[in-house]
Amino acid sequence: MIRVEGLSYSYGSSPKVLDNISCQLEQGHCIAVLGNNGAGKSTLLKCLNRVLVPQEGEVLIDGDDTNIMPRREMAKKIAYVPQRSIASHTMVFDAVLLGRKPYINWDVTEEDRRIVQRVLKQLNLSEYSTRYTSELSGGELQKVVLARALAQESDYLLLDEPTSNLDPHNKHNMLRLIQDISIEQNKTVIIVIHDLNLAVRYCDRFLFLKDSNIYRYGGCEIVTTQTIEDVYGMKVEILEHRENKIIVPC
Amino acid sequence: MKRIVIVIACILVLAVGLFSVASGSMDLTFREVVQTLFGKSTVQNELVVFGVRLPRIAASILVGAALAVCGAVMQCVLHNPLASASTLGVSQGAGFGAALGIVVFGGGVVSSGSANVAIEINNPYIVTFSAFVFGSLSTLVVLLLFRFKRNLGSGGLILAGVALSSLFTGGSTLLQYFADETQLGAVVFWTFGNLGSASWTEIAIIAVVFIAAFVYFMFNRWNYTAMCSGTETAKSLGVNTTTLMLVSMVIGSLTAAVSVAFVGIINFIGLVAPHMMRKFVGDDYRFLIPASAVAGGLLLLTADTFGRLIIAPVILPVGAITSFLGAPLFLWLLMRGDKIND
Ligand SMILES: Nc1ncnc2c1ncn2[C@@H]1O[C@H](COP(=O)(O)OP(=O)(O)OP(=O)(O)O)[C@@H](O)[C@H]1O
Ligand SMILES: [Mg+2]
Repeated sequence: MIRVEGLSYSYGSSPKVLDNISCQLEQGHCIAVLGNNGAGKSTLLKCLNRVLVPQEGEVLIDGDDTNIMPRREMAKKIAYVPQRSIASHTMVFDAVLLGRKPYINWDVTEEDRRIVQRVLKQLNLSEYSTRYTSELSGGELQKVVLARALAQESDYLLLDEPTSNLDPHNKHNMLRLIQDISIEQNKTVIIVIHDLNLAVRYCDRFLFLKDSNIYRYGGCEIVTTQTIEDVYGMKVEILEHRENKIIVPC
Repeated sequence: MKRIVIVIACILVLAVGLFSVASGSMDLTFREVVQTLFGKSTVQNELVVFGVRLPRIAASILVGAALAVCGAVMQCVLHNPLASASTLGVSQGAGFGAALGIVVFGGGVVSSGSANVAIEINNPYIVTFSAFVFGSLSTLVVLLLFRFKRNLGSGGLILAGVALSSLFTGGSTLLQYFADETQLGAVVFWTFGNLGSASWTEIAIIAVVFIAAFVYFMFNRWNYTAMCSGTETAKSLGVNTTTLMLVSMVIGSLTAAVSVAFVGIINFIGLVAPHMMRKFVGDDYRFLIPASAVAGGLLLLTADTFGRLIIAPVILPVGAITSFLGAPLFLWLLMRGDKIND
């Protein structure tokens, strides 16, 4: 469980992007972080694993204060996929192997290689393993970055729009895979995703950010026309189709 | 594949090295060279090989390797493909420091050797220390700019390097006015880069510093590879990015400063060698660090051998040769432009 207490963050001297946020993100759930552009979703994710150091408040992971946790230990617990990934000039296999970095002492082990191979297979990337990441398409790169995060074998996954560049088929495949991993291995996934229909389909917790704070946090029942209008200022209609909610703007 | 590139480069270093031992004002056959190396030759041959040529070759390989690995690492931690000791002004700072050490603290004396003028440093520690202090000064300015002016971009950082370079080069020129004849000779030699001046003791010092830096860099090779995917990704993979950057830059400038203190300013090796090897091994620092080291050694050795032989018995300063080699490559990198505007 990740517990956030009184977390505030501001970039330099600009106004606070996150202001006194507190919440508990429970184990084994797939949590969608929602909010309009610039609401602070990416900032929140980065504060959770101290890619950004919050000015106030603390984040506890399984009861351990991230303030005093060595980065390496934290990397074993939390994997992170940034919103914008930089492609370095390395082969796909080596790029994914980097996910094993927190466990590597002097050199990689056979075990590490096996894990990487397994993850590449899971994401249908096996035939890419000797391609250079700098020569991949946007969606291919996104899959590689996701593969790296999965290779980290952490209990928590922070994913910042991990499917924004994927085609519809890949998008559903990836999200289904993430959902399966979360259910089968009791992992906690915290995912920023703009598509509300995908969010209600694959996530079971929803965290709406508004005005530098949490507007609402809860299960599928809080995704209502009212919440969406309040957060995005957009009128929508919610339809039911085979027990799935479908959100359409009206 | 990546290992093969390193092995081939190593073989080339050996080949050029052997050729370099054999050639010079007194040509030796390969047979004689081998005999001398195993201590079965004339005293004269031994003097030429062990006293003159081998130290020079050892210095070329070591300094080339040192500058190249420092360049590779600086390019990574500053996220700047144009970073290197000479483009950031570290070498020029160190050169000024060395000159100051020679002129003000009375470090250097010119003594006439056989064909070339050899410069001995009376007190190598003062000159080295002074070189390191001023090399670090450049590093400090670069780091402060990098830390507090995030929107500087990679071009801005290099412009700062240009400014620092001209500042220190100007400083060195001014010092020459206050120098007496012998000191002047020493200072001028410094600004050109001269591999003939290194004695075995100095080579040993460079070797120790280089090996220490190399081990530290290799120890962090995974961290550097992670840094290539961006600071945020590196942090999330457990890299202490700030510490890594600071320590790497300090070690890099120390190593560069020591090289400069003993053999003078040598441009472009630190920039060109890593980029050459990136073509083959990519941003994978497991291979890039050793590959850059070998390539740097090879480049500088080749450049120096060339400079020794092209219009023998006149020996061209190696710094001029590397600039000749490096400047076009540098321009080509700028022209290609893909990785430079990040
Ligand atoms: N490095 C930065 N320096 C200064 N301000 C920043 C920086 N990064 C983000 N901001 C500002 O902080 C606010 C929140 O940014 P954040 O990236 O967290 O938004 P977001 O919710 O992820 O938006 P999006 O949906 O567009 O990804 C924005 O107003 C943004 O302009
Ligand atoms: Mg964002």
